[in-house]
Amino acid sequence: MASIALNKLLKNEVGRVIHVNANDLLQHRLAPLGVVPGLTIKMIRTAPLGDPVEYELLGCHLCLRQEDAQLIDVELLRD
Amino acid sequence: MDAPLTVSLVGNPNCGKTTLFNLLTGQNSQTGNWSGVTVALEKKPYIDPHLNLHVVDLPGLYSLNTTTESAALDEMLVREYILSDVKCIINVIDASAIARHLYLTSQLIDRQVPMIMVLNMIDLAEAQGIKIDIDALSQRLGMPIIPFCGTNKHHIGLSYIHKALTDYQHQTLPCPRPCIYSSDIEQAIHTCQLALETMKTVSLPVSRYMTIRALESRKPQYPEAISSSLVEMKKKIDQASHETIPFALTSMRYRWVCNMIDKTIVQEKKIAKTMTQQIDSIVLNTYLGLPIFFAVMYALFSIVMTVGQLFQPAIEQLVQAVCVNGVSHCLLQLHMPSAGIAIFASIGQGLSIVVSFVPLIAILFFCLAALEASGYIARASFLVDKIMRKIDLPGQAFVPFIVGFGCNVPAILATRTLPNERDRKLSILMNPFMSCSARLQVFSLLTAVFFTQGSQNIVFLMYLIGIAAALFTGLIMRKTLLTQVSNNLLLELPAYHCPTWSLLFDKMCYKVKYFLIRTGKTIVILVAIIQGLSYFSFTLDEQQKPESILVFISKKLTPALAPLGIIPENWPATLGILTGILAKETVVAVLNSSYDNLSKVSVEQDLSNELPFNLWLEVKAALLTIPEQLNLKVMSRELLNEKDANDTLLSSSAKQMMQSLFTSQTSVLAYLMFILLYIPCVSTMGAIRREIGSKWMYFSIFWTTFLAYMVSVCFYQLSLFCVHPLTSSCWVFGLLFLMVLCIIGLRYIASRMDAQDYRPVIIQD
Repeated sequence: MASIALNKLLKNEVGRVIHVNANDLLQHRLAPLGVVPGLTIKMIRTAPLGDPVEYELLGCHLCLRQEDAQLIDVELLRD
Repeated sequence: MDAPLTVSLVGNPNCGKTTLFNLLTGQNSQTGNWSGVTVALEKKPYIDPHLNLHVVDLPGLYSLNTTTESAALDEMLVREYILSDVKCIINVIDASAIARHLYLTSQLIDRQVPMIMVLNMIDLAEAQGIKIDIDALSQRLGMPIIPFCGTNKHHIGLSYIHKALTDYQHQTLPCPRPCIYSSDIEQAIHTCQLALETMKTVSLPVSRYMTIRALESRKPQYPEAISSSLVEMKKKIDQASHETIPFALTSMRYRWVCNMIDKTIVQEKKIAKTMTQQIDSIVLNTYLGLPIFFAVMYALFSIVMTVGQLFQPAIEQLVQAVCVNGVSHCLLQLHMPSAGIAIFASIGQGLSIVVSFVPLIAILFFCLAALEASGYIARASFLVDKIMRKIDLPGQAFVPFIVGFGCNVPAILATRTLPNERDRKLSILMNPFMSCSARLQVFSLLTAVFFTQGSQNIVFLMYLIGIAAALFTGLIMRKTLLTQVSNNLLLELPAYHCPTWSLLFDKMCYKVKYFLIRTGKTIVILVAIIQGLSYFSFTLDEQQKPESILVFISKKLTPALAPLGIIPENWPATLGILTGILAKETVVAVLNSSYDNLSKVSVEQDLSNELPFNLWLEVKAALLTIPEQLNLKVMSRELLNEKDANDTLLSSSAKQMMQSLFTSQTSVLAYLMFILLYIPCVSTMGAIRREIGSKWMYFSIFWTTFLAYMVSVCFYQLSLFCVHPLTSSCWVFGLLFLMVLCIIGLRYIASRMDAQDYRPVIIQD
């Protein structure tokens, strides 16, 4: 399945992380939070002003800005 | 008796370490301050004295890897501590998000010290339908696991923790089963460890843990020789496998986590919605989210200002009664020379100002702690991140700005919640321009005297100018001194908790103590200096009515204010500005008395002519201000509309004098702008010095005064452009030129700081 950027996920859609294109530093900060290839991530909601976006992964709720989420490639999972 | 053993609480942020810490150590035990830059590590004896144990509470963190050069100070401290000092770890884990929390566990296991795992919030996990096979998981990890619920009254887990700690005391608590990585990585670890050992530049024996840290970290903190060869080694390994070593390790760790939780943790049927999800669907709602946010902020602001100001005058007067009047009285009885009395009285005055901030700070930090512990602050950041991003600050920075409209001192202390040093500096430097409630008194007084109509609009305009000045400051700072980019936003929304009262009181007391001890020092000294200046005079002639140094200085300074429309005879206006440095509340009183007694040269209090001292009467008067303050609340609302109200604040002779000395309404406006923008008060400056250091305080003094002068002079001169275009344009262009010079100067300083490998300023004692 073709990969899409994480910020393209719609509400309640689930994706599996394929690749993180972020710079070294951001990757280092994302990794312990569970943004690593192979794990799934679910889009919960966008903030009222359109940015940032709330995601659920590994049972935690994490907010990322659109520009950062754009750097994460996911494959859309249909369930 | 042997030196006590220590156990350390380690875990992700928001997993309930502090609650457990309080339970393990008891509420009444003494807090032992850790020597060092921050009081980040708290160490208290274990509640049961039979075990000779100390418990250390470490700040929460997600990973042991050093990510940035400017990583939050307390995180660095934790890493350092775990590397060198840790003896036994209690790993606190949020049972509802085990997988994420086990990541840190896998790093802690590498350290190979005895470990106990506490599964906190087990009730929450059960409510979410998560079933955990504790025995099997404990077997796999090789450490005791204790299910726990911090909010439950009975704390069943505590006895099990006690048992595990007893085992530790008897040295029967095992080290956890080590994580074995893939053969490639094990090989890399082995080679690297050998290489580090042969170099022998580190004092500690090279452990497996140290080696893994060195391989995994982005920027390992080791001597030059080691790190350069490490980089070489890493490159070789990276080329062999396709991933870089840190990321290979990360995926390895998650694979390990998956193995651990496979079949031991089962997510049973999906339950409808947790409480947190239900609250969030309202609080973070597209339409309701922002209104609720602003309502919460408004509630915070009004509670802090109402309750804080209710007690402020009472406490101030009480301390003044004892420390100023009482001490002077006693010293007078002892026939001390009046100069000596004045010195003591100045210090007493300083103390009373410091103490008067206590109710404000206590109530603010109580409310902030409640918002933070409940989980709302994180939501607030989520909601306003986009707005704050426009000024390059994270969402959390919104709170200090709001608080600044009440009082800048607690606002500056509140910037502590910002994780990034640079963000903190930026919001601290912008904060003095938020017009505080004390400045409102000056505005309402002067506008009521000079503007018969539309005084509210003038006051509103002042607030807007203040915000504009803050934005301008932020812009200039981002282009010059604080060019570092803001960190990417990675914000976790924790589940909602109901905070316990004891936690909130603990946090509040800590903040108040911190303020009194650390910030208070600076404030007392500064207040004493200014008070001293108003007591003493250059002429030592006792017969002649002496002119205090402060009056002398203000007369000399008045010509400098001529370009903003202050004529030389109007020196009380300058005196108002000078005493305003002390606290803006004093401006009104000083203006009143000095305009009223313009025939009398001095505004100083004559100590010997005071009424006979009566402590009881003064205490009574102080306490009476509380009901007065309640009435005043109602009155102050009418203050802007009713001109009569000002007659109580300002005598009619002072009013006439004032009207004759201020030449025009525009000069009053220019004066107000100056009052708005220059140094807010010594207390604010003391807070700045405490938070980010003296250099930044001096800079803030310079910057606020310069900006105030520039804005007010430009405004006044432009208003007179038709009368004398040449002089006006000279002033305006001259000041703009100075501003450009100043910006160039700042850029130069910034470039020099970069050249010196600028490190973040560490807060010193």
